[in-house]
Amino acid sequence: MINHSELRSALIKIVGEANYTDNELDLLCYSSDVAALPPEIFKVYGIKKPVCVVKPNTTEQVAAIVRLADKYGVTITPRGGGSSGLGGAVPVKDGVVVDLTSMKQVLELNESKKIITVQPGISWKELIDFLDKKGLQPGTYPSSAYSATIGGFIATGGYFGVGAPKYGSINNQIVNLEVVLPNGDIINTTENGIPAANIPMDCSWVFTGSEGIFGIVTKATLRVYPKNIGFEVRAIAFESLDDAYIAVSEALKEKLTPHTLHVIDKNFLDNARKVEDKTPEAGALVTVAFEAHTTLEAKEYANKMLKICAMKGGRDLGLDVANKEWKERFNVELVFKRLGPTLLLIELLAPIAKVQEIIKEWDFIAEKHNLALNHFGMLGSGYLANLMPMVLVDERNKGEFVKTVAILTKMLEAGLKLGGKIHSVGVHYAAYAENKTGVSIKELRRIKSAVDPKNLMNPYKVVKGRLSPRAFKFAMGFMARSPAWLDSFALKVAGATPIVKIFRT
Amino acid sequence: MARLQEKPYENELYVCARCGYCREVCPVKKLNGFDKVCPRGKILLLKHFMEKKMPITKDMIWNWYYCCTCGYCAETCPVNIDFPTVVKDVRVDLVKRGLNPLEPFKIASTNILTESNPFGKPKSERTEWIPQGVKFSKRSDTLYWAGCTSAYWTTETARAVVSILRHINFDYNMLGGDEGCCGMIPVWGGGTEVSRQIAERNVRLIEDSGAKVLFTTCPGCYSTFKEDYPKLVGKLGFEARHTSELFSELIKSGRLKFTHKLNSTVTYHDPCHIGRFHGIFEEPREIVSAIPGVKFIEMDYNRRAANCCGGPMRTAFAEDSLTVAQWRVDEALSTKAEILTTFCPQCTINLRQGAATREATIEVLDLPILMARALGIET
Repeated sequence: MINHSELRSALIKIVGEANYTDNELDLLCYSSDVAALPPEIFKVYGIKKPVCVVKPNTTEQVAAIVRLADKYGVTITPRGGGSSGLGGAVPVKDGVVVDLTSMKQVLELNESKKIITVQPGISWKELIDFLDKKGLQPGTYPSSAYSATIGGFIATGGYFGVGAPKYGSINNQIVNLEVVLPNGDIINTTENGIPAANIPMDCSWVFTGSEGIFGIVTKATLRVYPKNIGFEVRAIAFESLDDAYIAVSEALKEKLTPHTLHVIDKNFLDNARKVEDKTPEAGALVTVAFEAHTTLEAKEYANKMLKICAMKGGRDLGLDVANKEWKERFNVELVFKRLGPTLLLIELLAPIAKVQEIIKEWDFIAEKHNLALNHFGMLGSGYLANLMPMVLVDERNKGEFVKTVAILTKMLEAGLKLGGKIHSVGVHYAAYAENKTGVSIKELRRIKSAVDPKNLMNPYKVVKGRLSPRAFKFAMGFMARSPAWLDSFALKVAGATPIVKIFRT
Repeated sequence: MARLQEKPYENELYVCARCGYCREVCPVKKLNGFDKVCPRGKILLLKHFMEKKMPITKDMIWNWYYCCTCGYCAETCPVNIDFPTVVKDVRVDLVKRGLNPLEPFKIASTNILTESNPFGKPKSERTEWIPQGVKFSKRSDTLYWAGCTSAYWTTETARAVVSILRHINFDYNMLGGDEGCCGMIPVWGGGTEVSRQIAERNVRLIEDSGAKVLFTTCPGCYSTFKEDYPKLVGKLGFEARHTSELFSELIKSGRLKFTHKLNSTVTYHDPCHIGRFHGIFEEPREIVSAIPGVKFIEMDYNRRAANCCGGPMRTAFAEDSLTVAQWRVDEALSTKAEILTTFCPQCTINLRQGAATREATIEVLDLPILMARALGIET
């Protein structure tokens, strides 16, 4: 058992009274993220309120916290803006949540080399605003830039977002990471390796997409780019989602590289129009941005795109619509959530060539279950699209809510079978960890046991969930098929009894 | 579900996506450091308490009163939650359930009922600010409402307004000793019954005066009349307007002409309750720009993205209110402006204190006073 008062005073000694909390209300806020999931599912996953939360300001404080946790044998869950939705930043075992949002300083900007060093808790919006004043910009940033932090984006892989088709994943932009390892050692990825795991220097790849299971990033040095003068956005309407994706694939084959590209379907547009009446009417909408050194060059790309799209019936909706859609880029996934008021979604990385097949399969499953999907897709780097089918439900209708979660999970499974990948695992996708993109799960497991033998750094995430994948898949399959009232009942039983323990690994 | 739906804010708790955009702009989040105080936290907790049918704790009540009500969060909210309204509705519901608001809110309400102002100042002193020799019509279409803050504290603002109006022979009326409190504090404190009682009294007096237009210098009064009164007592027989609207029209029509060059650099702070709440951004700027010799500089965060001065927090969290004011003063200082102006007595007081504690030389002036100077009027 943890000696709470001893831990408390030791932590306060490190971060100061104002940066420590074990207030009940504070703790409740740290046991969730953006995901809407029934409270019972949280119980089944084993999600817990943290014992306490600390907000360090410096690398040394983080290292001291980590060493202390090691000494007391308590777990640590690092957390940024809390804007992810798979539970990666939510504690699964009693422990300390390390909230990094106070670490938001810009430490150094080298304008000639175009690199910037920041603390991990700065939000992307803050970084964008800072760079903007210097005529610079970041490469890829998440569409949740207002609240997502640099550290959080690195930890969740940073595979897609605004600018991803052009600048690639966050990995391409990382020059160096300073990381506090689970034993409290501070390393710089360009200078040090991880001897315990037999990994040589230049090891930032270990930490991108690692969801904080190998340590806490305390500084990030990133490449930044001059703000290009040429920036052109177009909104192109299609008859169908199929046509839109065919046109996008054609454009990619022609080596057109957009800065950002979104595809949304008719359902999405129809729902968005209920909230924002200026939303255009179409069978599908592609919003595409091109960036170049000159306006002329950017226009040239945009025109080429329009020409390719025209062959599949794509119509240019004009600059007003394009600019409106571009302005919505930070809100896009949430624009019509109010209609639910709960929004459920899955995220799948899919090769562009497979997108239509996957969507067709999803539509088939959804139709079978009488579910209305709102398709949203975002082009990532390397001919990958991030697909996010969304469903509106009302979580107060428990049975329907749980059932929809289950159906969406089955849809994810179907997408994975067709060649898709997940970018993050968190808690919710633990059963599908084998399908994670990037470093293989086998390698991740090897590194985990080497650097964190006590399993204290964000345990039960990514490499090993608490539930047996087989049991999870079975339960989801069952709930997707059975009547809603039974789902509601089954969940109540699972959440209230120790039965769930037998499903734990 | 019908039982829960009775609460007007209940659906909004489910609309919240917990994206956390609000926490990045929330002043009380910046003060407290932890999520629970920002809209995301407040909503998450209330939803949790309601779903678990847990009794509302003292901590929870405190949390729902710990808010600037500045509405900056609503600007960034991707699902369009009007958070200030949620705050108001939740507080009303808490009071309805017998959960008392914070003590200072209760004291203010009692003071309003006995002395017609939230400060507990004697009712008899309310008209002391009115300069000797000021004449106003006994009956006019236009009624000037000074508001408690200007009647008792920033009396120079109210004096400037009437002096300007006298300067151009503008016809208006005042309620004099009958003017009371608009009831903003009970309105925001959840005290619907007290608020209604106050609103009924004021509406009767104003309508009896024959006024068709009521103009206020206090954005708090303005917003209370404009937004809250119709909800409390139904449609009003008069239109509430802010003095900045009136002055900017008088300038445009050529009736009000500035004659004295001011030769200074000026920045403007947007009061939340006319700015974000009612979209009055340009009128005060038009007034400042019309003053000869003034070089106008915007702060980085302005209009819809203006940071709060912390004023509404003064009711129950004076120290925190001052800290928020200091942040805003720091923004003004970084523009290198010599004068920080605003159009709100409450903002003026708070920013002035913020500037004083920062030992800054920047002069904080309510806009009517700046206007009076540009008209060569002694205030």
